[in-house]
Amino acid sequence: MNGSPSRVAIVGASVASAMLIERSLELGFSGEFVVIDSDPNAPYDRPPLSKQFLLGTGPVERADWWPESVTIINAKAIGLVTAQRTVLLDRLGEIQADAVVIATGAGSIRLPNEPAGVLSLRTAEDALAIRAAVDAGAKSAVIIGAGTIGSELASTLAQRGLRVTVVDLAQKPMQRFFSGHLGEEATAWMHQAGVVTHLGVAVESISRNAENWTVRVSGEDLQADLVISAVGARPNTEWLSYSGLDIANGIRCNAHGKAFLANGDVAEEIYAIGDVSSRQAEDGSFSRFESWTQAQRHGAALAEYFAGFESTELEQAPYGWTEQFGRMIQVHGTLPPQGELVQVYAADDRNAALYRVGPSDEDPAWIGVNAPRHFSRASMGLSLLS
Amino acid sequence: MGEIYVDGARCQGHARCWALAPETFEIDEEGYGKVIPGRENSGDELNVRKAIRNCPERAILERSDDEAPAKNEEVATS
Repeated sequence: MNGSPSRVAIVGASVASAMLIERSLELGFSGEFVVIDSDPNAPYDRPPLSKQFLLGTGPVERADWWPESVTIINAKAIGLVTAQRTVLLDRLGEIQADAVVIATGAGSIRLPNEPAGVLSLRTAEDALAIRAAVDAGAKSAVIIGAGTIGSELASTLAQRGLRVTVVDLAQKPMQRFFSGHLGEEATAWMHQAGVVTHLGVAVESISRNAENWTVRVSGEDLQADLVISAVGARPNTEWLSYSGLDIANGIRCNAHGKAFLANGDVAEEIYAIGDVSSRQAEDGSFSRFESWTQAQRHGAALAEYFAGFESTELEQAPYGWTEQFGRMIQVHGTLPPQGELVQVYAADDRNAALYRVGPSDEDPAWIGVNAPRHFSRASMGLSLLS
Repeated sequence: MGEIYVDGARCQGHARCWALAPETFEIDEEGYGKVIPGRENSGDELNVRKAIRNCPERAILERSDDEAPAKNEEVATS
């Protein structure tokens, strides 16, 4: 435990921070964690919010993966005194620690001139609002954004019997998740479920009257009881405006998660993990992922770094998934946008398929649709037989 | 650590456990995992820890029965 901090303040009760704590305890960490989160429902699981949660009736469940021994201070972090490793809170004063770990995640991007009453989905409270609107009798929804969240919402709301229209500036659903691949397939499975798509079009205006909402796209008026904005997320770094950290797009960090100052120096004992952190690669470039898997690997890797280990957590290939329209969709590796997509397995009766995407056969990326066994074998580098 | 098992109600068929620790987990055609009989006590092994951590549904659990060692006797071997 050489040089391991004894009091660690964590801002954000997320999967990344839960993993940091859990892995630290596993490795014999004997110090103290102080966790701050402004979300009154924290800690909870986010992936179900666009899916099972909207189909159910129960309350927001407290995540049972949260380490029991660590309590969460319900307050909003409003500033960081970087050199003193002190987090300023909106109430209950401030928290000083040997190390500060920032895990504030990302929040919904809102469209310019988006009127009040347009819903979005990021937090449990957002999901409760959507569910309440559907429970109150909404019959139709326009979803702005065909990314994974917008598509999952389309699937869930269609399942609840709403007439759903999805609008996106992109030509293909989940253009980023699939790196431009499988656009026709994803559009087709939306259409099969009765979802109407308007792709490659811009939203010109959003308005409402006493009856319903009108979303104007390319001169056409789409009417609905609900409008949900799912156009993407941006890192939650507003509260760090005066911290001196480099927050150009997320918090810029080195490979271990140590934050950089705007002047290019490394900030002492300030770290960022999860969606809010933008990591430096060997070639010096920075990239930021919004990924459950990556977030928890960041947490585990930082625990191992604190414990003085050479961590291999972040050497694993990226893994992402989405569940929608009766499909479990899994992605292994980084999909090259220009790469060749080859279907190597299909079982049409189960809507199952496995695709190899790659510039070469040596290190391909994989997309599995309802094919977890084939997908797993492929991502392990094994033959697809047996 | 006590015996590990896959909670069938939580498992959504990612098959990550099998990909990370094939010596301990097996999956069915739809990706739902279970612990290979005889491997219930492998919870401290590195690959199995990795599988537990990487399960997106947190479906790999430890059976809490009277036989399970007390929490403070748990030894991190990794």
